[in-house]
Amino acid sequence: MIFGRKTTLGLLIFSSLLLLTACSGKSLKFHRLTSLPDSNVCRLAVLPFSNEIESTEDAVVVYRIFQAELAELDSFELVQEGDIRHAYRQIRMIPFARKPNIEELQILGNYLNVQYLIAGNILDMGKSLEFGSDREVPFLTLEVRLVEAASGRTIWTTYHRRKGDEYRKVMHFGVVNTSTNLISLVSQEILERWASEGFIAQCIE
Amino acid sequence: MKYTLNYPHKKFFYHRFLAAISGSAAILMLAAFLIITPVDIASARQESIAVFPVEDLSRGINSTNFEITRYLYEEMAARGLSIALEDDIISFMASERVRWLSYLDTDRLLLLQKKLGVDLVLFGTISQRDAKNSPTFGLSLSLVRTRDGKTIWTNTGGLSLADMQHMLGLNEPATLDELWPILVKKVLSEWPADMDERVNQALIFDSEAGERPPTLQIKKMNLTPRYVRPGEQVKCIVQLDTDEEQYDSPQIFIKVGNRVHLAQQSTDGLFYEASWTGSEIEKGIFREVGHESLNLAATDLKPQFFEGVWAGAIEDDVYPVSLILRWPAGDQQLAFVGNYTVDSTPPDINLLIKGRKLKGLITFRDKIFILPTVKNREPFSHWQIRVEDETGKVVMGDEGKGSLPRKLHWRGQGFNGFPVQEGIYRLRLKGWDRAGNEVETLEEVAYRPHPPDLTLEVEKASNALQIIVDSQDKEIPLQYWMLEVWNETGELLKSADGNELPAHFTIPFEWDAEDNSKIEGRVVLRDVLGNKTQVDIDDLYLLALRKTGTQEEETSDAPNEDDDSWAWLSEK
Repeated sequence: MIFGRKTTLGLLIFSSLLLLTACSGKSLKFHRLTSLPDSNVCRLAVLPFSNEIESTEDAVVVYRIFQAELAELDSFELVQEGDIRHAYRQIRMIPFARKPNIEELQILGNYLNVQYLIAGNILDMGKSLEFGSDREVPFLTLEVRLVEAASGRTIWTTYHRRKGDEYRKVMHFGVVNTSTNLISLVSQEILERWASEGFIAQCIE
Repeated sequence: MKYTLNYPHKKFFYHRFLAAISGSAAILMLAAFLIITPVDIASARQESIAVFPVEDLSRGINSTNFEITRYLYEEMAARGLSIALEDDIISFMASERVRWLSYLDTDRLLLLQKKLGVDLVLFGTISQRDAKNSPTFGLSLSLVRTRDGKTIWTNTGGLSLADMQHMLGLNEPATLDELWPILVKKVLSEWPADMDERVNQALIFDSEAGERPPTLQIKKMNLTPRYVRPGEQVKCIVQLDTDEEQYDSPQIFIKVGNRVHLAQQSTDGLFYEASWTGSEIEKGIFREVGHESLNLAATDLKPQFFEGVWAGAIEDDVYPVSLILRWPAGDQQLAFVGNYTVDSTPPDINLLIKGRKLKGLITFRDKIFILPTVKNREPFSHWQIRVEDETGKVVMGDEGKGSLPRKLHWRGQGFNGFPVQEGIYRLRLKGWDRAGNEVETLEEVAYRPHPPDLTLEVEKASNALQIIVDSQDKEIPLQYWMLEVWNETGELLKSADGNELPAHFTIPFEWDAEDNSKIEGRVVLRDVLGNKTQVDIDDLYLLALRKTGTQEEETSDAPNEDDDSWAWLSEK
């Protein structure tokens, strides 16, 4: 079957649009609850992510990779995980078990001497069938909050859900097959959004 | 350039001379450069690194993968780094009680630098590792500077066979063992080229210059009691583990809600102690001094209860307790040490007794079930149940710690194991919540274990026997009565039943003085509690003649097991 030139061009445009739609980060929802405080002191602590998944190991993986992506930006003074865990022991909280309340956030912020805390919640994580295939691809739903340590108030909150096959470019190329890479990408997308909101720029100053 | 062969020696010596001059000049210039310009020794020397055991989260928290750890050793050595020995790292972990992989706190990072002399630590986490399905491997590496605990490089990667499938299938890895070295190399391929610069860039703090802020380590902490009634005292004892060599002792304050108490140091200097009243209900004890109270507390050196801020009414609530440390240099730290609860409300319990209610009282003959229920689902510290007779004497009781039993039963026995007297008894249940608030509830029950009395009258009438069945005890209603009369051959002469007494019967009968045949009878009474009386009459005829000879055989369904009088089912 031979298509006419117009039909071929139309199909190409349609395919490109489909690809563009697939690659856009529509699942990222960013909410600004309050403005960033007028300060450029950027010592941060990423608190162990609470999780609603069954595996604590997976929660630790998501936490470590998010922290690694943040450290790679080299824009902040990040508190070491060991210091954060020490603070948790001091207030008798079990890491990865639950969300700290406002008072606990204030105490953690004070103890760790940070301006901001990043708290996360892993809502869903696992594997599901790739669209149009019998192969499994990872998915992740993550909620990350930026908290002002002094008040315990949430400044920003970001919800993001991604599945490995959403990164497909052509055929199977581009599909993210490992949860490790998916966590990296989800973390990068969240941090990119935060950067576009001025968070990182403010710290670089 | 053109040389003639006539002056070979001159040329040779000329070049040697020039070389010597230029070499000496270079050495002199280098020496001058070294004198004038200080060399950054740190950048010139070889960086040393400690490769911590890689944590394999695919096998569970704190699982180690030494194969990949050693692979990383080799990769670091290939990059020209000086590697700390594996045994030294393990010894350090043991001596410093490092029980977790993949992270260290800043204090231990500084110690690592001090003890092993390393500039960097490489932490690794295996994020996924699947050999069964499609081989998959994930790794995250993190490089930390030991001088200030700054993470100077990280990289993460994942790889599965699906990522490695080439068009022609050439050089594809087939197993996990072939896959993971590819990924490790890929992750390390982004190892920073400017490592020297990163190692030597500005420190977050310089611990050698005393810039490291003091850290708070709570060695022991005891906050008791955790549940109090208004007006009761709460005590907090804290033992700190501070680096006394380096820092002066801090002032210790205990912050409760928005009040601040200066803690008193014990005579041996090891502990700090503060006590306060959980919550005062009297007005005017606390002065409202605004939020300056913290500063006020800090300047008051009296080791005693301190007047703090009180805002709003005192209510039952959970009060957070925090520790404030203030060093002479002005540094201040806050650490949450626990909560205590002020509770003035006693728990609310309901006592449900299962059984038949007669004349407004639960009445039983063998056992009753007692079902205590807590309305506000509050945990109990202990409970007690007593059974008192009409004079108030305790005939049976029990008590226990923790929550109330879900169900209790009493078999009408006393402490000695024998049945108590028939009568009215009072069940008194007491409970105490964790703050010590007491609640009491009581219910009266009637213990009626005796079978119903039977009155049987048999009289001779002309050609008949007249029988009257009655009972004197009308307090407990009958469930049923039953009468059966047979002749000697087993022929049923009369059968009747009902639940109302007295009952009259006339049984036709031919009186014959020479006839010795018997007339047998049975009467059964059973009350609503299950008490039963059964009477078998061997010969009604003789009874009628003599109005005697009645043989009563009383039976009862009362239990005769040797089981305990009390038993309960715990909620746990």
